[in-house]
Amino acid sequence: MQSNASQLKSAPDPEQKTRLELDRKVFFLETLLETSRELNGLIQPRRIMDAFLLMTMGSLGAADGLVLLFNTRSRHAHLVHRGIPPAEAEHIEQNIWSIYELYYTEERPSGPSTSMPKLITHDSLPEYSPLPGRMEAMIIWDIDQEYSGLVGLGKKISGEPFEEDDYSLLLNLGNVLVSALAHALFTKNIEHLNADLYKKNVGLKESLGQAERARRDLQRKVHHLKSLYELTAELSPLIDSDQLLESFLLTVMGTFGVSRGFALVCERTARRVRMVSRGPARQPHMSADEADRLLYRCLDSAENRALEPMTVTRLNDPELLFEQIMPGAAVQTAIMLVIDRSHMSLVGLGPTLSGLPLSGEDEELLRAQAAGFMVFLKNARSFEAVQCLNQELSEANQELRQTIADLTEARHTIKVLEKAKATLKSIVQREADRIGRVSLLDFSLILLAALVLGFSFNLANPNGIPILPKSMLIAPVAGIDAADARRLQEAGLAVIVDARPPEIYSQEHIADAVNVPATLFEIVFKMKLARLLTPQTTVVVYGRNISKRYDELVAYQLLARDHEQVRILTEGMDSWKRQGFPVRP
Amino acid sequence: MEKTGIPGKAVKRPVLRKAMTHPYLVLAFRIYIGSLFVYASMYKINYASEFAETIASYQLVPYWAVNLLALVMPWMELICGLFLVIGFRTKSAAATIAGLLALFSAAVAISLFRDLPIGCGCFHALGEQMSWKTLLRDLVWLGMAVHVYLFDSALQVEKRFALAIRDI
Amino acid sequence: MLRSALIILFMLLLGSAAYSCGQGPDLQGRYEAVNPQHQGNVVVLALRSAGKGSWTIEGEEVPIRWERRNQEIWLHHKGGAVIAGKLVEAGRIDVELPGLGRFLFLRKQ
Repeated sequence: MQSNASQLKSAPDPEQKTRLELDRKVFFLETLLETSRELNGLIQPRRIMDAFLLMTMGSLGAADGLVLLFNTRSRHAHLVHRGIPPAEAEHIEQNIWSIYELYYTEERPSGPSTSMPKLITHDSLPEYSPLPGRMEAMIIWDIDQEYSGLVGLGKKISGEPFEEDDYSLLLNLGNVLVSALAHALFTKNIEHLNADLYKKNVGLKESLGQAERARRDLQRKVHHLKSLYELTAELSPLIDSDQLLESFLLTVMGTFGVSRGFALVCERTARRVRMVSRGPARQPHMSADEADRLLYRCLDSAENRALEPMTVTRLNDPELLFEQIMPGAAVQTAIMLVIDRSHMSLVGLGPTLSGLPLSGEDEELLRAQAAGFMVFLKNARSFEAVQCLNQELSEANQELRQTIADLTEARHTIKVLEKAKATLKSIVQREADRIGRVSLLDFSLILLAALVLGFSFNLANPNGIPILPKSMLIAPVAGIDAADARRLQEAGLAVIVDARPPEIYSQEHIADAVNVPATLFEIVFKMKLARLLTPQTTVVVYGRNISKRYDELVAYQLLARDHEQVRILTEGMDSWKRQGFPVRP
Repeated sequence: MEKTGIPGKAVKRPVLRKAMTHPYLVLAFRIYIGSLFVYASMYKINYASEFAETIASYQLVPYWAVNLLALVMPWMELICGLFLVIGFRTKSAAATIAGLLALFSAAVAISLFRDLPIGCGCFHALGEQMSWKTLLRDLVWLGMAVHVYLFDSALQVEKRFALAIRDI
Repeated sequence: MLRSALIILFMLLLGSAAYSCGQGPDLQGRYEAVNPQHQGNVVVLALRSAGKGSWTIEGEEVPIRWERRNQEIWLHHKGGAVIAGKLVEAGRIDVELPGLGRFLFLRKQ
């Protein structure tokens, strides 16, 4: 086909010229078609360039050629050459970027890509060009901002210079190359993008997965926190240990969805065990010793035997341990809470609804809940201790108050007693002083005593005497004057009685008066007077002095003997003597 | 207690005085008078009507007071006598008895002046006739009683008591 | 001090007890005398224990109290009189009532 161009010039025949031209055109088009077909399936730039060069050199008959592809973005350059000696090729390769700079710095459009190749002929090559001087034709092009390239062809094998048609063919081929390259590059880009996308997709999926996991984690954590919050809310108003225990157990059982469980708190120093259970559990109570034994066994099978205060330890083989409390392999999970060395708790949970053992996170939740419970229990204990102390304090206070009251009372009593003592002392001393003295009180007392004794003795005495004379108490005896008495006496109707003692009678008495001494009345009367008297006889009695009224005494005694006619001589013997009546001796 | 006088006598006086006021002498008087009056009161308490007669025979006491006096006086004698014997309230008892004796002495003196032929009635109704001896006897007893009143100090029940409470 | 006083008192009480009780039981009994006023009458003097007794005249019994005083027997009447009877010899009491005569009581039993 190379010869066709020259043939074309030399052909005189216009038909032949036209046929030659058509042939040439066909040749062009076939070349282009082949080239494009060849390049179509390729996607690697290097291979494209290689194939292109081959086709171009073949079609144009160039002896050597090269294709350069610059990736300005990644500073990557490809060189494909044929027919160039290796040393030169190496030289070119080493200076590849200076070539680029040479050809591209001047004319760098800023706008969108100009992929149209530009032809640079030998003539317009700069003088100092790293390219081998033999480059006859060159085209340069850009694809986007990223890629630039050039194709350089040497002389033809035939030695002929490049003609116009060659140049236009080269240009067109260049077009094809550019489009193929562009295509390839784009495809590569797309591939890259795809790969990128895919990677990104994968990455995204991973992230999604992570996010999903994170979300689940979060949800779980929320659930945990919620459970913990619920537990806290449940337990915080409680201050009683038993209530706390029960509430805790119920909450835990609710959280994990178990239907059976138990919890016990053992206060080892106080020898007290609190136990709560739900569901079929055999023992609601446990003695301190049993609890102790159980604790020891649990300690054996505990995960962590350190027994640090405020820790939660998981127990292995819970079924064995708690056989007696919840028989029948019922205890699936068990933990031991160590509040301090003397205060421990055991919690055992039956199987969950799903039957599966608790997951790690669930266990963590359980631990967290248990830790919360321990805090509350500790608080409850402190509170109980405080209450106890308070009670003791108030009791002590009460005792103190009582003591103070007692003391006050005692002090008061002491004061009173001291006062009493002082009073007594003064009284006693006064009395003591009185010993040496005499006082009116003594006299009065003696007199009073004498009176009392005298009267009472007199009353009790059958031989007692009347305290006051009868005449003062009852009606006095009727009187009779001397004249009447004398008359009666003379008439013999009266007997005159001298009531005075015999000594006095013997000294002087009324004539014919009978001496009946008042003191001897009973004896003398019968002997002397009785026979002188008749019921009608008037008895006239006389005889009295300042100290004694004998006449009255005798008169009353006569009256007592039912003698009605008794008279007392008024003014006694004096009136008789005044009247001049006889007296004896 | 200073006494003026001859120095020689001044020496004697304190001795005499001491002998006169010796606690044992006083004690003897006291016990004598006390038991005397206790003894004397016995009859009078027992035979009150006779004692009333005796009082009446003096013709000094009004008729309405005779029995009263006959009841009360013997008991006074008894109480005071007992007090003197025991040593309780000796001063008051001695004073009472001295008073009674003064009374009796006066009564006797009056009766003597009146020449009343009555018995003393001091111990029993049929006692001897009253005479100046009776009066003298009464006066001696009165003197003793006064002496006791003034100087009694020994064997007093209250003394122990006094000693005990002096400590307070 | 107190003790000696109490001893004295005790002795006194003893003395007075002896005084009142020591009458001598040998005087107890029934005595009769002829009423000097009225020859026909007999006065009975009954001396019982504890110083009690009675003087019976014409059927009327007058209670008296009696006590022995050495050779005398004193008869106490409720009215206030006291009569001294002489104990001349055993079983014979001589009582003189002023204005009434002498009563010679002879012991009958």
